[in-house]
Amino acid sequence: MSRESILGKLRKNKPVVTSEVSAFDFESGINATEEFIRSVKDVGGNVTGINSIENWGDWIKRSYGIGLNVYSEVASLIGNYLLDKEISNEQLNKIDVAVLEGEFGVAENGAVWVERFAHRSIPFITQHLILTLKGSNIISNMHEAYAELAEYGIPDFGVFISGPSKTADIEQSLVYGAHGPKSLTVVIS
Amino acid sequence: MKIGLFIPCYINQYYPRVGMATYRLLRNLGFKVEYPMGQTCCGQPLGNSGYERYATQGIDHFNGTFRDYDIIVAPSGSCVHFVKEHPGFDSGSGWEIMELSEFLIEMTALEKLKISFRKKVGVLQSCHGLRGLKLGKSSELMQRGASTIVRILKQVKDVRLVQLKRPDECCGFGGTFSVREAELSVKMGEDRLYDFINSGAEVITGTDVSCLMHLEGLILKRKLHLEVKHFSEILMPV
Amino acid sequence: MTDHYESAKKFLKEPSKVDWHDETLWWVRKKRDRAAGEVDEWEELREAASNIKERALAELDSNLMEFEQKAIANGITVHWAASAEKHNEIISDLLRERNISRVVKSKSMLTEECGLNPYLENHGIEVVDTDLGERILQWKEHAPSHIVMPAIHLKKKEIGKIFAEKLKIPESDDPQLLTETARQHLRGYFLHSKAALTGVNFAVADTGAFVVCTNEGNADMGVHLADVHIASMGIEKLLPKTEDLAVFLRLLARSATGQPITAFTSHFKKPARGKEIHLILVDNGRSAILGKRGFWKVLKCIRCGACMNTCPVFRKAGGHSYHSTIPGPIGAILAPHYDSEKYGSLPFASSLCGSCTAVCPVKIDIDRQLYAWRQELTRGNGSQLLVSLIGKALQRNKLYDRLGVFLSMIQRRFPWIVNRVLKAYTQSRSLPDVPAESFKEWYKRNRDE
Repeated sequence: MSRESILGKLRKNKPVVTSEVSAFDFESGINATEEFIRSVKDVGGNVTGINSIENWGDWIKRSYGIGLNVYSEVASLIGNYLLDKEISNEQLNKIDVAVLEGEFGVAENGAVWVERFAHRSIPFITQHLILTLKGSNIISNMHEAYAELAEYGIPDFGVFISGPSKTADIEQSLVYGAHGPKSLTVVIS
Repeated sequence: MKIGLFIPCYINQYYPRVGMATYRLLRNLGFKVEYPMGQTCCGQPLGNSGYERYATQGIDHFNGTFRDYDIIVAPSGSCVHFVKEHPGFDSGSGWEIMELSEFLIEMTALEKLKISFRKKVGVLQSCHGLRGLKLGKSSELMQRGASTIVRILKQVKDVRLVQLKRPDECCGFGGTFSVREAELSVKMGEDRLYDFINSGAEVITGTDVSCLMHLEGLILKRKLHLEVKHFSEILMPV
Repeated sequence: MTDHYESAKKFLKEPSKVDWHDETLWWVRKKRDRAAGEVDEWEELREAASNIKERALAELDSNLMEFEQKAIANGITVHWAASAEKHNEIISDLLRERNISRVVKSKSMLTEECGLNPYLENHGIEVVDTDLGERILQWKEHAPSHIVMPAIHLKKKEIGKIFAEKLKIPESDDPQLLTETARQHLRGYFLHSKAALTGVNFAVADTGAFVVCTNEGNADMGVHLADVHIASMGIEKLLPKTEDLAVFLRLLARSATGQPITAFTSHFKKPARGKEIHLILVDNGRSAILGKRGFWKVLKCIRCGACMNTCPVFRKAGGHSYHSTIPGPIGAILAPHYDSEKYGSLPFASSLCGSCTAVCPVKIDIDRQLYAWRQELTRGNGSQLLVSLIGKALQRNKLYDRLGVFLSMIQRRFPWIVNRVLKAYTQSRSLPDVPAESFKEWYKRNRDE
């Protein structure tokens, strides 16, 4: 049995380690929101305030074009594209713009934690992704992020999203939209 | 304080002038320094080639040679690093070994020295000194601080230090590496050399004659006009 | 056995490509410097990461049991594979039981290590690599030359040719267009694959969850659209606590590419309704390395590739010169554990400059291990007359001095002998002239000056 033989060897071979591990001591930044906005832009994302959006429908048309399938899970916007109860991959593949709610944002890297969606593939399969975020839910760094997650528990599936999908596999030239969303916009309320 | 001078094998053979400059410099600064005649080599070439086990007798010999000294000073970061890292060297008898620039900074010995060197100088930060002995903060670390050799050169009048594109990349000497991976070693050396040339350096200096010898070899072969000097030769022109 | 020296020499024959490779990876190293520099507590993070990993490895047996228990309770099926063969067999069985003949796969150095692709192909299962770089290499039938930038050895013109041939498009060297083409091409595979394979960047014992990081989003595209997710994980990837992830995620992408974090950092705890997650814990030599004094810390590696970008040997000789799954400095101390003959030249393919050790986010003592490997690897060499002679001369100073005088005389009178013996050195570099006297001789006369 692999299991017993592996565990047996690990037990026999483990090194003696004397160094201590203590909780990492960190300092929180002071201007988390400002830093967050800068970080999102640095990783190729856009940021906008909810106040600058008078009408979601118009704003999406203006930003992304007309005739698109907009799928939304945020209360303030009803999308024009709905998913069946039994969701098929083909159906998911037709989403042009997905609007999801982010739980919190991390200033140091522009990442938004997302854990609620009708289907786990939505933030990846959509052509463009919009994440909404409460301004009061922006924290400084990853230590605070995991403290947050520890409090509410790690969900069945959750993801930090920092900017759009990207690749630099061809001569290190940065290209957005490798497989996932070609653009990411964070809307702060 | 009894200071023993350790002159590595290749300096003894090829660059006695560096040993001379080091000896005279220390004497001039008022240190009582001796060169124990029985010394050989620290054994680093054997260790780096994978034959450390053949160096043990030499290491014992080193321990015997320097038994009666308080401080061993050597104009070579690489050899000092080997002595410090290798458990066979017996510093239990009380001695401490220091690379020359480290010793000079530690002893704040340079104020008495009134020298001028009107040249554009590029510093070759040798790896064993920089990363091994931590004679400065290497560029990988998110800590800043000038290296001992730069601090020393800043005390020399009229020196202009040039800015390199890659401040502390390896020159590719690496002892037996320079023979075993000759083409690669040459390529690494050439790239370093052109960094110095493009930055306008007239003189390349450093703490390790071995790395400098490698670059000098490339310069000679290409008939380029660039001087190579160990920093002790700048401080103590012969 | 291919000596590193031979392959390095071959790579060096194309100077413009060498310089491009060198400059590009140096640029990545500089991006890393910038990103690391933005974190005030960078050095403390490295120290913390090193300590966490060392502790985790010392408790790996109990951590793995805790992880297994939690993961099973969450509905993940946990498999154990002592060897690469076992790992491949588990995946092949899982797929055949479900009548799946094609899978999408995201980047995983572990599956490279195990030779999974050829194994599955031999068992009639098609593997579609979905990471852009890996897809290109799959077409070109090349191995990755770098663990983070697998196709860094190819220029865009070469890539454009491959696309033209495989996807019947007009030849182009526009990365934007090529990437868009790959997106369209692979989307079809994502939509119709019943199973998806991924690696694992980190797993956490206290929750039984695991984390997969990508920039392209290809791992997630694969697994969420498929019914079965099979994740392969080296046992050394396990961390004790969820909060440890903060330390490692702050270090990983900054060290790898200079990004503050990858675009997608996905946390898998439970399978979605009606779907399966299989996690394979792979040993394949790791537990043996754990028992080797002076060498076990190589297991701290989080596969960021920073040591490759900083290494002048890697940058100027290329990743393929190592002939090992994991190239570069970390590969040079890892590969000989698997085959000390085949990879015996790797620990010597270094000037021991130590840049790798200084850049490593988990502080692996890479240069020290390179040195230690050299001591091991020379044991098998036959008669060592020359080194033992040198060793003896170090002990007898009179003999040593005479040898010095003798060698100087030789070089002075018969320089051609020296030039022939040291041809590798003197071909492109001149030796210094032999001075009239050695330092020792000078000192004898001048000690009281």
